[in-house]
Amino acid sequence: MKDLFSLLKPNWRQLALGGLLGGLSLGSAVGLLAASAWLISMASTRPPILMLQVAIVAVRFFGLSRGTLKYAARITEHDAALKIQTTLRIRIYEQISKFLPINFIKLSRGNLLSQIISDAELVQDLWLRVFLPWLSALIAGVSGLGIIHYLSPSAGDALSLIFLVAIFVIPILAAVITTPQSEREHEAELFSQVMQVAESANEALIFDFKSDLLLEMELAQDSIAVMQERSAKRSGYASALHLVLLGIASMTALYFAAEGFLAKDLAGVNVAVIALLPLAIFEGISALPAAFSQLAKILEASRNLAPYLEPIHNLELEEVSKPLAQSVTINFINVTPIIPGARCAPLSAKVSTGETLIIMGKSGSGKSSLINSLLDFTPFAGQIEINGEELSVNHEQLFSVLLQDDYLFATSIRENLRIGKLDATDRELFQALETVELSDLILKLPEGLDTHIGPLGYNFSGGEKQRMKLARLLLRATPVFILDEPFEFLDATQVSRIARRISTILDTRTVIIVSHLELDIPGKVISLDNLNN
Amino acid sequence: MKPLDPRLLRYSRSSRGFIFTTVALAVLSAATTITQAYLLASIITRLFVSQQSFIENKKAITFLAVVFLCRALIAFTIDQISTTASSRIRNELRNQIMVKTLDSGAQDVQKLGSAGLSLLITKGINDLDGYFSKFLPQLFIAAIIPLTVGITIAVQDWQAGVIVLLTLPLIPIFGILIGRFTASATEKKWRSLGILSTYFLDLLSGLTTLKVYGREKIQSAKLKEVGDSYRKETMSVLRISFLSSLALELVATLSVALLAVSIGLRLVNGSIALQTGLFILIIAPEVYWPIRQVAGYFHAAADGLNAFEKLFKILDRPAVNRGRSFKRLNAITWSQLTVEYPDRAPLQIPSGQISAGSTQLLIGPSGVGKSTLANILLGFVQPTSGELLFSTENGDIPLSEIAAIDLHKQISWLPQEPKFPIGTVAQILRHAKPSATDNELEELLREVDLNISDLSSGLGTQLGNLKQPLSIGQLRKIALARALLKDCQLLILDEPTASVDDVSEEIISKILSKKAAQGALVLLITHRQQMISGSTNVTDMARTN
Repeated sequence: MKDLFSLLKPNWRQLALGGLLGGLSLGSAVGLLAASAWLISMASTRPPILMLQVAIVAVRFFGLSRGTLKYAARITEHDAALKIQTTLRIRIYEQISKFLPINFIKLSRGNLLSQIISDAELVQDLWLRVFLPWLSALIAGVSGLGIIHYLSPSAGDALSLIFLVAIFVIPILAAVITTPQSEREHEAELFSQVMQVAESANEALIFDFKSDLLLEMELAQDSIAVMQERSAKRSGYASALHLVLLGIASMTALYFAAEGFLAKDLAGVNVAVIALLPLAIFEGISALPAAFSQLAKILEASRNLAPYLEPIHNLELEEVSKPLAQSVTINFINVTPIIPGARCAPLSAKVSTGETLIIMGKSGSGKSSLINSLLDFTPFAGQIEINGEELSVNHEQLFSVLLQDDYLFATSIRENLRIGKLDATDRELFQALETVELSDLILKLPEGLDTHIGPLGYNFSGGEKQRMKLARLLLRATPVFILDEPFEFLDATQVSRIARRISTILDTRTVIIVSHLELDIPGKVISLDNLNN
Repeated sequence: MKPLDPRLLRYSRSSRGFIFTTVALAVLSAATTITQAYLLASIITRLFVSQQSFIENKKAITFLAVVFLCRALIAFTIDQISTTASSRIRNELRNQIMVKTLDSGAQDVQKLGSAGLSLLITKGINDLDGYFSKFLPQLFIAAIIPLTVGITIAVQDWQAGVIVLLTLPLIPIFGILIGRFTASATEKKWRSLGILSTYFLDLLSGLTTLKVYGREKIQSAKLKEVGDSYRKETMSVLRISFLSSLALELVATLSVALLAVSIGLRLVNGSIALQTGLFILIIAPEVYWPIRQVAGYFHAAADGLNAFEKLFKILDRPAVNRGRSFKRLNAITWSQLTVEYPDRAPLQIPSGQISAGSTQLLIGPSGVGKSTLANILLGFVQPTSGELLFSTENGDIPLSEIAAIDLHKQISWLPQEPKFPIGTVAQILRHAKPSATDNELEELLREVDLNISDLSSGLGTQLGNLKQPLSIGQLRKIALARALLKDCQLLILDEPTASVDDVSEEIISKILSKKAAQGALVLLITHRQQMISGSTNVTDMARTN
């Protein structure tokens, strides 16, 4: 919660301004009704027209200001809320990027999307739909009650009491009686069900598990429906209570107006003003029950986001750039990755600049985990020494890594490749593409390097994507290159051509290649299968 | 999208009863609104003009109290009914869309991406809530209340009635005009929202890559940039929509002011009673408010409506009815197959023929169309031209005439990237053969070189969306086992050793020859030299042209 409010800091003034403008707009509605009630009552006493002039101007003024102020309020609030939204997303991103990969792999993809996007959007409602409307209703109520109090103090006191109940009790009641329980969890569940159906649609057809998928999805959405109906009922009670209180306020106003007029405490023309004002005062409250019934849901979302919301300090300071050694020797001494449920044999090997270490082995033999150990993604037993020192955490400037689940982003080819080298020129990019035999294809594309990758862009094949990732890697200039299964999805002749080319390009580096197929390039080969036996 | 699409009634049964009830409640609501205004006006007049006391109006005030209670009750009921109906209608739509999507296989998934499709089905359909629970009820309220109230005003005072009659149409006219101008902007917003969500997901999905490249910090600046441009775009759309509701509000305010001035002037010269004047003043906003509210809710529902169009595009797609089936497949012949991709030159697949009884290898450089051919055989991709014939016991049948359900019954498949539903290893394997015993499954897993003791809970190990501690190679072995388990006429293996050394080539060829000997047509797509050397039936797609 504290972190949630810290998000507001840069924009709270703008938000408060929005609330104030909204309050003034509702206040204008109060003024409009008061002025017109007075005008009609006064007119019925047939005064000279001049006497009505002020009221006519007031009616016009409030009529115009109500809409205009509302417009200004909405623009101000939404702009502030969107700014907060961006801050929120950045903070979430930065927090998650601090996680170890092993931890964010656990957040399944579907859940991550639904959780973060919908939670972040929901949290925004806290100010936009809950707090600011409440503030506006309060401002309008106070101004209306001020007018009533000025005309008839006793009516003002009585109506203030009812108003207090309405503005405090109704929202609290609405918020308290709606416990959304785990509606969100169910929604996330539904999302992953649907995602599952979408992803395995093809296989569901061939292996005939369509009905299983549908059944699970129906169960997920049924439980959501039950919850929604229950919570609608509860927020409905609060809305109904609001109308009941409005009725009571109207009766009370009528009573004090009647008594005051008979006792000559109240001018006759003000009877209608007092009798009708509650309608305008309570109008601002009418939307609150529905808004506050979302409060529990919003707070739950913010609790879910909490681990991602801590502000990150000194992000830049972490980068200590050590002078890079030009020659690097990596020494694995009895290294065993620690993976729950798997046994790996300890590996000892040494690789220096100008050498290539090829690690081979069957699936499950721990090849990739070995790489993850070197990157400090996976815990391991044993020791990894770099130039005789123990492995340090900051490795981006030392290592260039092709991961097995390396990712291409849904953006242009150019931007994807430039992750390898931020200021790479098109010439450098094509040079790298040439090495992996992609330059011809990309030259032929109508948009060239600007072609988008991903669902909305060009439909690259698995082999093409893999080669793109290799090209991206080759743009890097670090002393060490680590390639995990670099030649997946490539056909055999292509593999040997590209492997040889890469081997030549990297012959002055320390290279580690993990592969399950034999590569026709010079290097030390270690097979994990032999170690296992 | 029309405000009330008849297709909605067709696809959702729940929506019919819901619409009827809403109309009935809207009528009741109109009656209480008018009564309340009438009572307030008459009580105030009696207090002020006849100088009566509060007690003397006991009857009218009690009646007023009852009216307030009725309003509370009606509001409550409308709220409940619309929420319930909204969730029922959405569930109905969701079910239908899923059934349709599953029937068409990868078509929608390919078009929208699995995240895009899931977003449409969950968030997209949820966004329709605004349409069902707010906009639709309001549409009926707007159709009934202004008319009823307008007539009531005209009955009380014909001059005021004329003003209402002349000004009321201004609101829908302005609303429609503004709507015309903003439609394209709203469309744009939906698109940019999609891009932003995708961008955020994309960034999170590729975080490992960014991290090893040491680029994760640069991306937060990029995120800010994208967020800012998204905010600007959203604000420009919101400004239009807020401005249009301001315009409508001003039209309404001016109309009420026009009424008030005419009433005020006639009060001064005594040609109208105070009670009538007050009544019209209290009730007049009710004439304009419901239509304005429709416009307001329309903007709120607009996002949802956009989803509507996409949903109906899927729902309206005619079911394909092809009737032919087969029990026995002898050979497959294809010639001049062409597949068109958006944004890419059409792919021409070299002609060829494969026959049952042995393992057929399909090789060729990447991009030549090996996987595409597999997708055509599986019925996931429709060729734009060319011919593909299945030689069966019923003669030669073009693939396009075979009922999808019968085709799928006869095919088993190892995809390049297997996807499993949530379930245990045993459950997933049994999709291929429900009657398989545990022993049979274990035997099969051994055969594909998967050591069951490597799985944390053996056959009960959970697979699915949650990332499991299995390696990609192990998952592919399970997928291979599933493909082998199914009793089929055509077995397609797409790069069985693509990513890791799942199964040694020896084992694969042994298993496949066994399968082929049982009479199945086994099609193996690969680029592995080793695999190719040992086999006799090789179709090299690069050379057949």
